[in-house]
Amino acid sequence: MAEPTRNYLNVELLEAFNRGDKKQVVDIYSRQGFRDLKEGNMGSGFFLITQAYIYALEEGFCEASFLYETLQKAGREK
Amino acid sequence: MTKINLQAIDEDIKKSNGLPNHHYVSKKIFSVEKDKLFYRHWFGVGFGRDIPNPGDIAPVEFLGIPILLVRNHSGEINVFENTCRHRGMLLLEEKKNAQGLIRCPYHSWCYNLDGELKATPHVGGAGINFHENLEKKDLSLFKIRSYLFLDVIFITLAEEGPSFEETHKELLGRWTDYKKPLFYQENDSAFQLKVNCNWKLAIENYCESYHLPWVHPDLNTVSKLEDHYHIISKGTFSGQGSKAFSQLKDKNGQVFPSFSNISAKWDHTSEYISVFPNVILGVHKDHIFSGVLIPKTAKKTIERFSIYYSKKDSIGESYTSLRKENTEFWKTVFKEDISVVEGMQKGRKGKYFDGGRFSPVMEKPTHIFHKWVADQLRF
Repeated sequence: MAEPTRNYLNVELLEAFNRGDKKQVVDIYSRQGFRDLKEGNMGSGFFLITQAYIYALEEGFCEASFLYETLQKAGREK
Repeated sequence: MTKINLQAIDEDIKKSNGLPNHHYVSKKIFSVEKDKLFYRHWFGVGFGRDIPNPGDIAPVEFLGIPILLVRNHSGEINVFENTCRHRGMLLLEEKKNAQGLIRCPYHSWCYNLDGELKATPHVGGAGINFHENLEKKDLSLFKIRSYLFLDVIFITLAEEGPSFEETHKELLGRWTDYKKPLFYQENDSAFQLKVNCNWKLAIENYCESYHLPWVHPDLNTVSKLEDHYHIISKGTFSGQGSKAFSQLKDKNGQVFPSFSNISAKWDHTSEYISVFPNVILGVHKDHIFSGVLIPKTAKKTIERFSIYYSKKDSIGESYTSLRKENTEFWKTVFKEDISVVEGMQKGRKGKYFDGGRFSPVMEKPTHIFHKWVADQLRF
């Protein structure tokens, strides 16, 4: 199956925000962030992972620790 | 600032006047009072029951100050300034239960429920979440000193100065019997009144028993004027007690369970105290109530009340009817006071009223409050 385009993800993200579905917000930011890292787009990747990390922290989601480790190992978080 | 001449209140109660009119109507005096009667002292801002569960956070604006009442995940209550250490953004506008951190809605700096700054996204550039010049440990939320007494959350904005325990040692000692778990039923044990009067009128009315036979005639049958005594402190509270307390009973003779291990004196005694500046409390052998007065303007006050019981049984279904009757009883008593405190407010629009005189016998508690106000305003 083809990966969703960025435009599609933007729509999906806005819908998740409108629903107040922070789990989905974290998931979308996270998926796109890791995809960008895989493609070597480090700036965009860590930006998006930070976005995912912050919403995960706010909601107390367990994903926060993995996202933190990712950022911390890359020297993006202390 | 207008010079405040309060010498007349220094006199012995036999000769003393009360606070003059402008202390009840003037915006300027109201503003001075914020600092001198509230911020420097221990004042009530809410109740533990406002944040009953771990993770509960309630933003409150009290006398213009934005604060957060927070119950952390260990159940401890803390109070913080509701202001992000970054750009001063208000952190929360609505009550919530936080599973995680408090995120500032502006740039998403995040704080835990102990006020520690835990995340500063993109602060070192996109995707770089730290900067060598910003130490998170130095940027915790500003913590406000707080103390929970009879479920009232007291705070002070004085960074130094005596603790609540030191300030209210006399009161804590007097009511040591009530240092016990309290049980609150959220469905039927609180009420709120909006009153068109200066907050001080509600405090001074509450602490004296002189008005009871006239304003609360229903009390005459259970607790006559001569059953009451004054409660006089060295200056941080005053009030009245009754030696004729009898428990509320339902038609089957059921009463609320009493507090365990309290002195036998409470079998027929109840006490009602104004804790200066803005908290009113009442204790009985089977329940207590706490009230916080929220001054909105010089002429408007919101009164919030909560009733608490001695045992978990008392907040169960079998006591629902008696509990509702008890809440209604106290609500009626406080509503009966509205006509007189609003009447005194209207009377203070007059040109000639000089603060009035006190009954030297019946109004010592009220005089103590006026004296306390006068003493604080002089500094």
